Amino acid sequence: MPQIKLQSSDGEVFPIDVEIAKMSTTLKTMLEDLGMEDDDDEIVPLPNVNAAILRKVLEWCTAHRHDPPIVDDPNILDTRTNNITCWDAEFLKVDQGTLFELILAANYLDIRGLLDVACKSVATLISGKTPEDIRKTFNIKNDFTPEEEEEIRKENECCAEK
Amino acid sequence: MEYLQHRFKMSPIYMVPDVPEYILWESTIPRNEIIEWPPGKMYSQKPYRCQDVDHLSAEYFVTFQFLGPVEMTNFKMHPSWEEANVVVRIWAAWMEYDKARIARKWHLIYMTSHSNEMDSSANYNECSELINTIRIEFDRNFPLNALALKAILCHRTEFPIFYPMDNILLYGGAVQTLMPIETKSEVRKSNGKNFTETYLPSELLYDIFDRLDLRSLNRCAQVNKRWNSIASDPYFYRNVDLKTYWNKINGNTLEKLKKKLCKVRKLDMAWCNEYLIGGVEFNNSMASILETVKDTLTHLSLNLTGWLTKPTINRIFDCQFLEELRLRNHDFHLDDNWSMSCCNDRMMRLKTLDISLSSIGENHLIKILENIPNLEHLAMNNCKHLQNLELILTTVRMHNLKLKTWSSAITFFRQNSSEIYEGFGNLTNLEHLNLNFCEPSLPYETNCFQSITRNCQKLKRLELGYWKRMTDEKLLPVTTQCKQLRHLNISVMPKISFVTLSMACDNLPNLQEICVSVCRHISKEMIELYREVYPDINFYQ
Repeated sequence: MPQIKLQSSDGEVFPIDVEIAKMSTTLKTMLEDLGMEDDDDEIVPLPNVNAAILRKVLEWCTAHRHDPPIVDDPNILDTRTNNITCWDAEFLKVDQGTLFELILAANYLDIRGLLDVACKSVATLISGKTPEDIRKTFNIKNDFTPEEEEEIRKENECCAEK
Repeated sequence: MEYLQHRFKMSPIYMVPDVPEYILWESTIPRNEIIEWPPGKMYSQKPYRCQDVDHLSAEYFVTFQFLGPVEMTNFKMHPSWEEANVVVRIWAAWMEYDKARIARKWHLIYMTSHSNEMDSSANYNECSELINTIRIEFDRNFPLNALALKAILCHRTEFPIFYPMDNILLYGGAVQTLMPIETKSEVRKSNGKNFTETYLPSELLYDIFDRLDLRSLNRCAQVNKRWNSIASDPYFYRNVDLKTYWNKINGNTLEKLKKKLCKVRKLDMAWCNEYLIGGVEFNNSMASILETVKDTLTHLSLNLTGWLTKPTINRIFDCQFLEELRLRNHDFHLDDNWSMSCCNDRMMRLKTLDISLSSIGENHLIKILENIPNLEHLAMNNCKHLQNLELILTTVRMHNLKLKTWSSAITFFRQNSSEIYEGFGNLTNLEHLNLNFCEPSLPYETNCFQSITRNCQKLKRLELGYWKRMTDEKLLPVTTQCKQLRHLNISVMPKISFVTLSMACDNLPNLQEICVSVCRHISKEMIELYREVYPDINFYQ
């Protein structure tokens, strides 16, 4: 199995199968564009991803290496929050910081499946909460004036409650 | 059950002749479940948007009314309904009928738990206010012939209840304690670290918000300015199902939603507008939304939204990219010389048209049909003003030859000779033909099935329920030649016997379902026997 080496922002080197690396569209394009060969001992630096996150990302990729590719089909209503598999749910039992960093890494490396499941996971955190609860959950400061807040509340009240 | 009936002295609604409130029942119940395609098939209304699928899949609702104010003290569903899991939500309200039927406030008093969980635990909420109206929502498994309503409401005041069918809808008494509301445990909690928003750049908020339901999205819009500007982006309102917000949508709220809906492609407004008889504001907002989105809208449902004005209807037919249009239960108050404002090359994409239960007349329907050359699915069940089958068939033959689905149950049942039915033979692409309750009113002169079976080789589903004069012999062309047939409904045909059953089972290699309920000469024992011999076929009795 041909391998390549990835280097995290903090300098750790991860040798991985090319097949797994290619689950990242970013890496796949890069490998193809640069024509990197298996026996090249070159190291691919990933300045935006630290070792802890890269390890998580690779763990996810390894577990999902046999997944069918995601197709854009508007007829499949697959964007709800309730179809996270058990494995993914377990995998994503991490603190918020890690979760967000995973999203950023998945976005940077362009790994659709991971991005999707991690975003769903955040969506689950939001879902069912009041605006105040959301602020608490994500430690967000309310920058509305009371008047603005009331106006925004009125504007959105119709669909904010059932 | 007996003691409860006794206790409340209830009488069915049809035994109370002068009931002014009957109009409520008349206008709200979709009386035609009996003629729906079976669950999950084409005619179940598919959710329109990806953000906010109604996880309980409510498809139908009925509204019931008490004779007087009722105070709810206790409430429980009849076990048979709870097990069947068909009732998904129950609402209660005080409705003032003399004021254009406006509900003061709808209280959600019952909701089943998530339908794909085996656990049947349900949520009951007490309602402290006096109520006089109950609305029950069913999922798409609403069983075909079972309009028997058996939900239970326990109340202190002894008022009889209107209910439309012969079974007990509601009964009272101190029967059951409320089930505890299960609170779902938090999926995950923050570990207390401080995260500022820099962790979530706007780009990723788009990714996350795109996976939210409408309610959460609207709440996110209230979090702070940045979230507000992102969550209010019409981008998230491409596919919008407002059906689950039916009790919140009226002219005012729609006006506020207007600017978010400016890019909407699929819009389901079914049930909205609360049956307001006036609804001018609703219509104005609706027309103005349609004006904005006429070049993007592909799917539109205004099922059961009450009255639509002529400008609104004209705007609908201006939406040239519509692929699916559902206008059930609408009064079409159009003058005789109304015509679709568009020229002939408009609405080339329209494939599905549902005008069931509407008051549309032949001349208007013809004007519409002439302008939608690529129509594939046409549902016009229970349209009381459509009578001239021949005229509609001729129009369809000339303009809509791609038609795959014709559904006209309880429509066209007067003054039709069997000869007219041969016209279906001209629609060679037909795959689904629903003619329940459509038996020719004159004695059979010809066997209309000969031309249908000869020409409609693609026919997969044929529904002929309530053709009471049909005989084994007349059904022979169907049972011997419709080789593609998968579903055959021959219920309520008192004259047919096992001959039809045998012929169908033996000759139709693709047959999957056959419905023979209320066929006098086909006994239960016989069906059991057939089930053993033909294990691949589902027999419904």
